[in-house]
Amino acid sequence: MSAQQPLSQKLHLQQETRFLVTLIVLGLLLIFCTFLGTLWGPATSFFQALQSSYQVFTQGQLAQGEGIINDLIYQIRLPRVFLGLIAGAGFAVSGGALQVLFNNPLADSGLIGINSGAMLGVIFGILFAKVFGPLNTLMIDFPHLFLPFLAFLGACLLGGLVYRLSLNNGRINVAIMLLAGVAVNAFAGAFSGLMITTANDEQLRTITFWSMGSLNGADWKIVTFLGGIVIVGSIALIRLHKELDAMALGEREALYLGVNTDSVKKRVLILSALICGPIVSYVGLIGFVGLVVPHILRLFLGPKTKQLLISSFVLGSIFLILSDVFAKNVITPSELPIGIVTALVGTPFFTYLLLKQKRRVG
Amino acid sequence: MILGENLTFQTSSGKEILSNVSLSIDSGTMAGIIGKNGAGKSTLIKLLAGLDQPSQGEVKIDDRELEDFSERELAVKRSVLSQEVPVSFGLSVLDILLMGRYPHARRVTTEDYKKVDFVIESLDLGGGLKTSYPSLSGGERQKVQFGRALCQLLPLEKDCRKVLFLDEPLAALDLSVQQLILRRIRSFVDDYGLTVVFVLHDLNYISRHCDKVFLLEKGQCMLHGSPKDVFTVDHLYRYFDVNVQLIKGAENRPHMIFN
Repeated sequence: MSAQQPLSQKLHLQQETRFLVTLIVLGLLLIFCTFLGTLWGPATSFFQALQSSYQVFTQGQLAQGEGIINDLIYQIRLPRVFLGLIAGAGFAVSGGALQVLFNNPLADSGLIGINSGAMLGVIFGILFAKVFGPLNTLMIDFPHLFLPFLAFLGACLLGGLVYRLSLNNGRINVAIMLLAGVAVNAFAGAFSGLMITTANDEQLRTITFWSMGSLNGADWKIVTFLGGIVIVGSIALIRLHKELDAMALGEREALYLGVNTDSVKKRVLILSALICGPIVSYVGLIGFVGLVVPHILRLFLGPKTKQLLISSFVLGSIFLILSDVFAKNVITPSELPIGIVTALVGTPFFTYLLLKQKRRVG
Repeated sequence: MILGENLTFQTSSGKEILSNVSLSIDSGTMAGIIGKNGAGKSTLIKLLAGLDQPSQGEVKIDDRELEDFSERELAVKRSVLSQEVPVSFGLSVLDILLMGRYPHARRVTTEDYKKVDFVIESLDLGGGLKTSYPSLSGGERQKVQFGRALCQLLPLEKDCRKVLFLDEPLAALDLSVQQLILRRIRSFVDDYGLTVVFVLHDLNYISRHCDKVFLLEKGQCMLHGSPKDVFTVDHLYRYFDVNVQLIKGAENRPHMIFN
């Protein structure tokens, strides 16, 4: 049997095996981080948290810790960790897919206007929901859907605008895309500033806390809703892996290979807006996850889209959970905005990787 | 058979690249498109291969309009080797070869791998399958892309009615790679009746192997016919500004010596 196996198939299986091993390691790491994020807090030291994790593993529950501690764990800490998991996964998967789509390692949902579009949607919702009657009814009837939906609309609007601007003779011009992204982001920043001038004190506080990014205030309802969106969106993106692989050869070659590139582009953009818009509306602007995570994985696993996106889902979760653990525990009892942590941790690491890569290329 | 009728192509800014070009290429033959830079050769290939739609006129492959083909149907009918394919991510040679199987099936089966192995053997690519594509030299990259175009066309059987388009595939390649690619193309035409449409600067190769030659100038087809009809001292002076000496090559075809 193995003697008849074609050489190309054997090599391909080797590649897949290495990916599966990596994925298992990442999966175990994610489970560990989930425990760490749940059990390590201001009241427990790192080692106590490890000890409790071990207890949960061996006995199925915490030895001590009835009542209030259980509530703390299951109603506050665990939803927060899961929100981080979902948000990190969503940002990383859409970032990875956008990088392949645009054939450019710089792309992510922030760069092409999706995040700032979501931001405009959220600020618009916070400021004007109370002013317009119909909006107000919607907000009261669907409190969990209202802001995410506005964020999705804003993300589609600005993401679509960048996409339209970068079309040249029906093809995406990457240089124009980057410039259009910068322009649209600058405009969105200015416009949101303009809107905020009309805010009252309470609204201002809401917007400020939201925009710094935080996993605070997570509950199971948010987690289920957002988790559903992110998982469905991510699966839809991962299912496009063959088309995206072909896009890595450039749009012309993808067309020659029989890929309907227009449909792929639209689907990736809409799915990214669907994933990132609602995430942004809950956790705020957390940068760098979508950029760094796929980049790291590409260095270790290679650029195959399927492997890249699946592992991005896991490593993105790990990255955000760890960042949140750090944000919570570094200046107890206060906490840092998580967006600051991702940028503080992410930037030096990213720079290091870039330098290493530069040296290798020569 | 490939049929182009009254093909006209304008860019979005209104510049006319091709005007009213008609051509027909029989199955199982090799056709060469020649002309100076900017004559519209690459545009013509793109229209025939279905990458761009003509502003006027239509392209038919085997009496079926190109627009009636779905993307996948067209992709198993013809493949294209472009001049250069830059890739920014470090895909391996094997990854790129396997992409050629994309239009055939959602799942890659052992049969597909066997076809890829066949291409690997016939192009002698076995040594560097794990190598990252961007780290290869220009010649090796082009060999890999040629391999991908072949993977896309397989399976080939007699009178396969499939088409390979090549848009200046050999620019800046080693002689040995050029020879390898051209020899393989010739054998696929002879063995399976593959149809080949070239844009090539090597006029002697065109004269030696092509059954039909189309000469473009400023977007118009000025001449077409057998190499004997097209490659004359007079024509080469008029359309290429060169003085040549013609001698008789293999099969009595004209062979050009450039002074």
